[in-house]
Amino acid sequence: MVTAEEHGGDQVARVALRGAPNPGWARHALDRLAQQHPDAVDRLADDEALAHRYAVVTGASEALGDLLAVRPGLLDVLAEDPPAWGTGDVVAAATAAIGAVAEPGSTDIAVSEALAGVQRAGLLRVAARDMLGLTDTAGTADELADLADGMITAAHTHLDPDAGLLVMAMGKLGGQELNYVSDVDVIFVHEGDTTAAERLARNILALLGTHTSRGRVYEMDANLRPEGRNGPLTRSIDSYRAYYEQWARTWEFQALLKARPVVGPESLADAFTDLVRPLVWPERLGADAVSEIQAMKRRVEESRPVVRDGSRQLKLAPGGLRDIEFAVQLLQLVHGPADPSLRRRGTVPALRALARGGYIDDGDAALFTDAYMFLRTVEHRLQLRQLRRTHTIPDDPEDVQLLARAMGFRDLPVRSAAEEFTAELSRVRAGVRRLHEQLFYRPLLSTLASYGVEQRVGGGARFDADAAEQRLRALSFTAPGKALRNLQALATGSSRTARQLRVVLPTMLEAMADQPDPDGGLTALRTMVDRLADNPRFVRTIRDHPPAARLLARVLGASPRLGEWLARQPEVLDLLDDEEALAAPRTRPDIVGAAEGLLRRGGGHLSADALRRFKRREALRTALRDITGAADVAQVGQELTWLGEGLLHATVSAMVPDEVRVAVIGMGRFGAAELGHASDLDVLFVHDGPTAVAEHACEEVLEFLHGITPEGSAFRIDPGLRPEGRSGPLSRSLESYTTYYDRWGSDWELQALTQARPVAGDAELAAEFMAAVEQRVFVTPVPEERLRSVRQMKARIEAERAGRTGLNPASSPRRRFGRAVRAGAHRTAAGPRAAAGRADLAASDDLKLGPGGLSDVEWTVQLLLLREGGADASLRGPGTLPGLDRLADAKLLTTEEAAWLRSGWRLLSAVRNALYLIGERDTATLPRHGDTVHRLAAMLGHDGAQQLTEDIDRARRRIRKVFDRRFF
Amino acid sequence: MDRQQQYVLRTVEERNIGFVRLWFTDVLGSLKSVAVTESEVEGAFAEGIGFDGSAVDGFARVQESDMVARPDATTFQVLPWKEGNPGVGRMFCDIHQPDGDPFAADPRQVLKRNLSKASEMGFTFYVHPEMEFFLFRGADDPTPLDRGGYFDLTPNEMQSDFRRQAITTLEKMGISVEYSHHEVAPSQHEIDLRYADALTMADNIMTYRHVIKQTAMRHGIHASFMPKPLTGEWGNSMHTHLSLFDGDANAFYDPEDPYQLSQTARQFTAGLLRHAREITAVTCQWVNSYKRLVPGFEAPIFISWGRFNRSSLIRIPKYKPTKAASTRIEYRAPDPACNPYLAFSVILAAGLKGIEAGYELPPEAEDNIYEMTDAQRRAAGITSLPTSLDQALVAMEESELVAEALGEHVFDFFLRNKWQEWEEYRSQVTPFELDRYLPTL
Repeated sequence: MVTAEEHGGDQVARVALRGAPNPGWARHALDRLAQQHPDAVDRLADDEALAHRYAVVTGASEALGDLLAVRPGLLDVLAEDPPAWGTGDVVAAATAAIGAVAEPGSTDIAVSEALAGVQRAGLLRVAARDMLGLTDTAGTADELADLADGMITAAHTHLDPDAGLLVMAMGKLGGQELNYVSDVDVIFVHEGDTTAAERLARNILALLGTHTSRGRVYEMDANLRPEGRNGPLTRSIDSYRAYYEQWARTWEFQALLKARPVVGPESLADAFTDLVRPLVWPERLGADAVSEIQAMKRRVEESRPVVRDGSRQLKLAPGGLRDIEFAVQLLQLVHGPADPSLRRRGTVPALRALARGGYIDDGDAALFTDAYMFLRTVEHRLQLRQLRRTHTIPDDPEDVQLLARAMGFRDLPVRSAAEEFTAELSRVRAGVRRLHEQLFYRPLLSTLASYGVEQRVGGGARFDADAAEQRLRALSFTAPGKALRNLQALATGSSRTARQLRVVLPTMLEAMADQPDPDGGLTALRTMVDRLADNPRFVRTIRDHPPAARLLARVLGASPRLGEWLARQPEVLDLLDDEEALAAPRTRPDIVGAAEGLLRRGGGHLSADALRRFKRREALRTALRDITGAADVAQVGQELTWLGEGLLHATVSAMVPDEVRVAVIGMGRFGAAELGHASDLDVLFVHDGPTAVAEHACEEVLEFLHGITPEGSAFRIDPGLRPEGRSGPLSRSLESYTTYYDRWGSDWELQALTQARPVAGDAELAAEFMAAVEQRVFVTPVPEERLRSVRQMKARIEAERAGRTGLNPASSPRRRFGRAVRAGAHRTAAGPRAAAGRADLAASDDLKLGPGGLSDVEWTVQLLLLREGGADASLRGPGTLPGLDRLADAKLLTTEEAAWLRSGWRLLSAVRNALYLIGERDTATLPRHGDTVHRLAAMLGHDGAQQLTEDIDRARRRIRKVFDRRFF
Repeated sequence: MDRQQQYVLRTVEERNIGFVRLWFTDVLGSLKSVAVTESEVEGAFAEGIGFDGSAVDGFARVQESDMVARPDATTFQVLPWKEGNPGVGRMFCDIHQPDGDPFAADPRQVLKRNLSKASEMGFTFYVHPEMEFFLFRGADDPTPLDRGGYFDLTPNEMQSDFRRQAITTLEKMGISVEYSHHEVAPSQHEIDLRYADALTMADNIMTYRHVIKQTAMRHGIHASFMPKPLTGEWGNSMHTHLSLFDGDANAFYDPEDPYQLSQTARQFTAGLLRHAREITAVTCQWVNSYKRLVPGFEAPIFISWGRFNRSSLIRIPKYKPTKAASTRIEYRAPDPACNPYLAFSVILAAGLKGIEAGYELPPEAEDNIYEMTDAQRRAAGITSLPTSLDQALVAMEESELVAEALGEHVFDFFLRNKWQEWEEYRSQVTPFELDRYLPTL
């Protein structure tokens, strides 16, 4: 093999090594050159400056090394520091090259070959200027766009210079932000004969897109045209007008932001520009446009998690190129209609214009420009290596090192170039990480702060109150005027609080905007600040802990009720500080242990106030975990259950004298360990010892927990499920219970006992009680009479409810239900099909007792336990969800049935919890007010009110279906 | 204001239109109309026309009952039979909620939702219904006007006049007619509409029914789409030809296949067959619909498919070698009194389900199924369509497919309404019973 050294090229090699970003690539390039054109190596040896340029280019691009090895004549380009080629230069070179091989108008492949040759020479020139530092990244992108413009113009001119066909550049070409390797987006506009124009357009695409021995000239893409690949390739002005005015969507106008004429009749270019201007820049942004912009924003945000290659993606990673471009375009679309100075095609010029108008902060504009340029430079260097289209940073460390060197990073004593580069990349990304906060929200505050204080330098701020309202609307505030007034009240003025709020408000606004009720959230924040302005801890918390500020904003935008709680008890604000603690599940020992600690600290005496503070804090923690999605509905149910147990445990320990033993048995959802935020605690008391003492102690327990002190009340304890209900004694001995259940216990009472579970007090006594209960509840064979009376009980409850709804249909705002009930009644009277299964699903919107409601699930589970638990002890135990799992395992429910009941129960329970959190008093029925349902849907992550209603209806229908099959 | 809307405003002015009727369809398929004066049209485009949804069958719902009808400007037509000064126009509407979201229980929206599912799978859904109807002396006098038969040239001038006028009116309203003829039963007619995408066709069917009834009224006679008005005669069917297109290509066509049916067509057909029982309550929604689905009148009874067999539920029309685009299947259960939006929705959903789940098409029924014994049919795995509305409702109630296709709200309303109809019917003592029982029992 002939190597460069053998041709006396050691001097060359030395030069190359010294100047090349990656000497290895340069050496390989030289080897290939030597192999094919030994004399060219001599030329390098004779010209040190040429050799330097050669090394710089081939040391950054293997592909260009290959190109020079095949076409050593191109070394001419490097003979001096190459000047930039304007579009005219490109056209001249291309025309000469075509003229040498083909007649004008020819579509022979030779024309494409000639064009590809010129294009590669052009690329070499741009790359050389880029790597030699003769231009910067923006200049490079510009020159690449000029090159493409020139190639398109040359093809157009060659085919038919006089044709009435206009080529419009779109996308990156239109914005003059081309990469070394990108799709070239164009659309065509014609006047005159359509067939001829279409043929010409097709031929232009073919000449530039055909595969030649040198590859394609460009990847041409004409799909940004109306109707995409299904639409005609070119249209007349009238046809564009018809389409855009009738059909086009906002994203199409967003694409037109970048439209730029390349070649074709000037009159046509003017006409097209005049046509699209009022479309892209209407006089006023309509409501439809605003909601489309919001939808676009959501789509971009939602598409993030599925991105391949994660943070190695330059384009799509969070804070990547696409995010920046998109945010800038969004601001252009929002403010461009009112302010023509923002109507720029390129991202960098647009950033500059936005900053000049005060629409974004100067510092942020500089930061984003730098970040954008850095990421683009990385992209350029990545693509230059092989001239391949890639936007992904390699994962091979060696390749990263090569990339870093191509970026100009060098190995330092302490760090490699790759480490330097990676650190810089992280720094850049961290700078733009809070992109939306910085670009969308912070300027709102700057504007407010400067109202009436001073005019901005350099033309004055055009980002005025109108523009600010427009922006708030685009960011999903529904009453932007009010929002702005709230913001103004919060952030203006010279008080310490206002100054500190100005710093954190942008981040809070961003967090709020994604919540069900951003407007309400902002109002709540204002109320809270008014109330807590003097509380140093509050201001400190949100100022020093941005995550806490964001969380607070989320909570306020989601749950006015929690906002109230927080405002009334600022001492719990510290919960917001510790994200990690908030994310961690609370276990039973955590909570019950803490409650016992209260008692211990009081030396056996329990402070009612301390207990209430404890309760509120823990309940709030769980609510926060619910809102943030850290705890699902089952986990929320457990945490609330442990809290109830802790309170009872501490209270019983404090109140019950030694002479008597008392155990507390949880029933209902408390027994099931599936409490909701609004649930009461169903309990039974059992004692061993003097009855009067026990009764008194239990009364004290209830009184202590129910009593309202300045710190509010604790839990509502409901002992109503005890034998004889409210008229019976509060507590009974074990014998008394067994006697009662044996002689008078009703079947539904036994069924309720399937959910019994010891929750507090004397463990031994509780165990005895459970054993006695189990013996009575789970028998085999189960008397058919018992099942029948449970079924009848359920049917009676249902009939009573339906009767209540039906009795007074006029009071119901929903005629449908009035009619539905009558229809149901009619059927009931009419025929045997009127089983409970026929009860009208929608006849009641009671999420608990209505058809397909929670109680259908619970009664089904309990009835099956009652029926089968005697023979199969493994089925026994409280809890609806665990019960469903066991019943499915035992094949008493099909997998599908169990899944329907499980997901239905979860959904309805979650709806009830969410209703509580958004502050509805009635958590048992779906609200009638459309807005409330909307907020509920947003809180639960459903796509709109109708979707939520649909999902609830489906869940209820399916629950009812299983209930029909299994309960009877 | 878009161009189409401007066009409508201009036409309203130029042609001196005094009123525009805004049309929409309730859940049971009745045409509803709100008239606005010409001066209100512009406002209707901008903000829609508010109305109380609780007054419309199937529209009332859990939340507020306020609704907004937003006219679709592309459907504007001048009503030809109202020509005069001033004239009357009409547009179909989409129903929205006050917050701007489309209302999920608007039948047009239901169909749109199902069509967009098809479009996500890459398909456009085309339909071509053969609509049949009777002409009678009056709404309370079902006396036929002739004793004619299939393709007979009857001398009854009024009827051919009627057909000519109906067709002219339809064509004037932009609805292309494929052909028309006298049907088998006396006084029964068929006017076929040229195939179109399902949404356009559903709109067209609503217009068609209205036009036919209007035209009859002007002739002093009564037109009826009632599925089976005359005992012992053929009923009104709406045989519906179905095809899916993928871009410009007919996705049902495969030149290699002996039946020229693609895998897609086979799976679609299999889906329809498997879910036929569940969707019948929607395609045949009245008590009377099931009087049509009886033996002896070429109505489908059994769930089967075939090429030549006219008793099949699904027939594969003879393929014309020159017309790849015409490959299609013919679903013979629907009657012309269905809600076309909902019927097309469930038909499409059943077919798509077959494609999604890769159902296998059972073998073609080659023999005349009517001549088979019960045992033979059972052995061949051939089941039958529901024979009464209540059977159909029971099948529908169990159907996740129909619930999904219609949406929970429409599904629930439809079932409740139809059960009520069934119960009312069941409590009637019929002339049949009186004739048969009163003398002897």
